[in-house]
Amino acid sequence: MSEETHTENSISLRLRIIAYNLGISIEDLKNLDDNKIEELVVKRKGTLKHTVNIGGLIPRGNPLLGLGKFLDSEKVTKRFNEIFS
Amino acid sequence: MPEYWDKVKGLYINYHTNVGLLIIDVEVKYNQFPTQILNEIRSFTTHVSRIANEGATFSQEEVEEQIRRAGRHIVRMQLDLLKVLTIWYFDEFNGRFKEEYKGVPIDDIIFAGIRFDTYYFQKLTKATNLVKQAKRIELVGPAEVAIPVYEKAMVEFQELELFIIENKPILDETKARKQEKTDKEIQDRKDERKSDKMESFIRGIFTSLIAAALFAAFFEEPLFAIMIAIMVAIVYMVFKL
Repeated sequence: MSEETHTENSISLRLRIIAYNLGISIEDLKNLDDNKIEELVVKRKGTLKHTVNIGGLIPRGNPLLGLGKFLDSEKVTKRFNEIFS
Repeated sequence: MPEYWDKVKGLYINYHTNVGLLIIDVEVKYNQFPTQILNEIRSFTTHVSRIANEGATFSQEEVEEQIRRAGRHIVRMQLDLLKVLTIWYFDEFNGRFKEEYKGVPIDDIIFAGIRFDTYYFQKLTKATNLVKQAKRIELVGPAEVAIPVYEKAMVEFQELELFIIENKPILDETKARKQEKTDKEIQDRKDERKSDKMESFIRGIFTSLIAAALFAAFFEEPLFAIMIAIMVAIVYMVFKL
């Protein structure tokens, strides 16, 4: 299998998995806005109610950033090197 | 439209096809936003906006340099996101999944002709080795050469994830049956302990009565007491008290 095919295969699997996890169709996933998708991500974990009182920022902005849910890049690098050394 | 915009367009297509989806995948899996990407997006936008703003006065080399640098940020985003996802997959399958199904006999379940544990370990090992290989390639450079290898690892991880998603009902049913069995064993042990307590209580009363009878008989009729003792011994042996 060529490298391009591997990447295409990976993208197609990724689409299926994300759509399954968000409970939407692949077509919807391709067409939804980023913020709408993030709302689905947050709703899935049942935490969207906490976003309501942040000055109207959340409905227009990025729900995960609004909730202060950042992925710690230092931890990520450390863990990556731990696992795959 | 200057022809270098085709190259810029290529970068945006790469963002749309790869980076955008990887960001969503990370968000879904971690429920967190990968903030290191924000800085890369900013840097990427800076280079593209320079071309838009000053492209007309830039030399061909200057434009090429800005496009090359913008492209490097797209590569950086892809690599960062792929790494974040490989960590999630590794921790999921090597830790959380094992913990969730600890003690559940799922290893020898056959799914479409494949033993569960065979498929699981083959995929996990292959994916892990591919990530290590990609990491080595990335260190030697150029970094973008490592992307297809990371993607190969992702295919292995993702196939395993889909395999588990598709067979989750069977896995959960097995887990529920195991839980039911464990609950029953716990209940049986509790019942057994209850009946043991009752038995000890009866034995205690019986022994006390015998002791009292022997005590009384010994002082009145020693022979009668010995006979009672023999009978008690027989009763103990027959009924295994």
